[in-house]
Amino acid sequence: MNSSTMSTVAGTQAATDTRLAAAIKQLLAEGHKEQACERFAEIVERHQRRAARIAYYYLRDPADVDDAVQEAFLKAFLHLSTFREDLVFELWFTRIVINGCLDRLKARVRRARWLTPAADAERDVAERHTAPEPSPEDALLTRERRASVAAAVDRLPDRQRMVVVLTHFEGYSPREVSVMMGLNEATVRVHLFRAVRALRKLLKSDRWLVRSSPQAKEARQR
Amino acid sequence: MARPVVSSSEGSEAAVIWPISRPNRRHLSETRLIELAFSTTTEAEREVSHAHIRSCARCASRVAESTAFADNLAAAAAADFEEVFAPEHLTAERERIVRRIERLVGCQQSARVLMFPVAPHAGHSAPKRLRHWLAVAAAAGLVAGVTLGQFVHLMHPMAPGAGVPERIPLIDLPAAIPLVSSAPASPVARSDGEYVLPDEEEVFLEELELSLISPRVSELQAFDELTPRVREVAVNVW
Repeated sequence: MNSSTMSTVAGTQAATDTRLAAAIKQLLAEGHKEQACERFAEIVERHQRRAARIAYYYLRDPADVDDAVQEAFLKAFLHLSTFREDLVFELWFTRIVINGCLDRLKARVRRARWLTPAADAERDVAERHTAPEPSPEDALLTRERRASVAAAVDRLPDRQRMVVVLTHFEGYSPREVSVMMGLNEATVRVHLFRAVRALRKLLKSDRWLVRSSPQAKEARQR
Repeated sequence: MARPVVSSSEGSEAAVIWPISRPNRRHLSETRLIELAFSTTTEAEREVSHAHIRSCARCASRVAESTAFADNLAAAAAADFEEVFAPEHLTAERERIVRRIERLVGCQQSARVLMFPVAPHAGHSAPKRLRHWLAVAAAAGLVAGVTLGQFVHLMHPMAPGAGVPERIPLIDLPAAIPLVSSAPASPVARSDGEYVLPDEEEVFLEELELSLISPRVSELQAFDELTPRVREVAVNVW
């Protein structure tokens, strides 16, 4: 699938989402709550995975991610009356997800200031990564690589991380990201450049990252 | 003559990028490499860059490295997510979100309240008239029971109005059994005006006093010696 086809598909999906959101808004205004709920379930189905992915890049804790995504959908439903049809629903909703994640991160920092750090967090991550792999060595290597990438992304400043996640991991264009973040498109590009340079510096020792692999090619095609 | 454009976003590593109209002989800047790898270039920029890459092995290698870096980064992030969030988990979570929204707007059916197990429904109960008669019969039964009970009580031989035997035989206690000691308990007045206790009582009190001031259990004597003052105090108080 080439980039123009992808953008056409994305455009069609965006238009569908926006129409759907407008229809739900109308149903709610007319008092047809049950029908509005049914239609909103379609939106949840279409956007849940992406929302969870974005939240996971920020929060790194599955329980926190589930809560953040739930809250984002609830907020979107409750504030659907403020959604303008000339906006892209996906961008509007992504903004809600990101704001929720940033709030949670702030709350986490506040909590960490007062509470002793839980030693369970690291153990949980280690226990989570126990999916069957070809061999223990490969599993360990893959785990270490992912962990180093995640740690490097975590170390980026908020805006740079947001730009990397949205443009590179989620495939939004700098223009779309600029709409979501309320920034100039050129500023988004600058953030992306700085973020990538910082990541290359942080992951300098990980030589596997600069070698081409079938998995990487597959990711690019996706 | 066209002048090269200096990329300002790179700071100290400012690179020179040639305009589209002129063949690009300079190496690609880091910014351009990143833009190519992360697919954020415009169509025109991409064409110029690719024209240079085709003729420059060094830049081709740099672009390949950057592209691999970008792809591996995305692949690692995606794989990490896939491993943690299984499809079943996402499905369950989706249902939870929908349920929560339904509850929020009040279009979810409320939980069924179980009825407290009471008497059968009125529609299936006995007719009202029958229940009325049952109550009357119960009251009549109560009155009859009380009356009968009263009558039986009156007919009892011990009842006040019943025929009482003229004499109830009493047990005669033998007059010789002394209930208390006949010895004088009160002090006896002496000729000089003082009172003296009888001899038996005197002996008893002496024994009592002796038992109080002397240790009774040999095993406890050691303890008593350790706390002599306590015993003395006790004796003095007494």
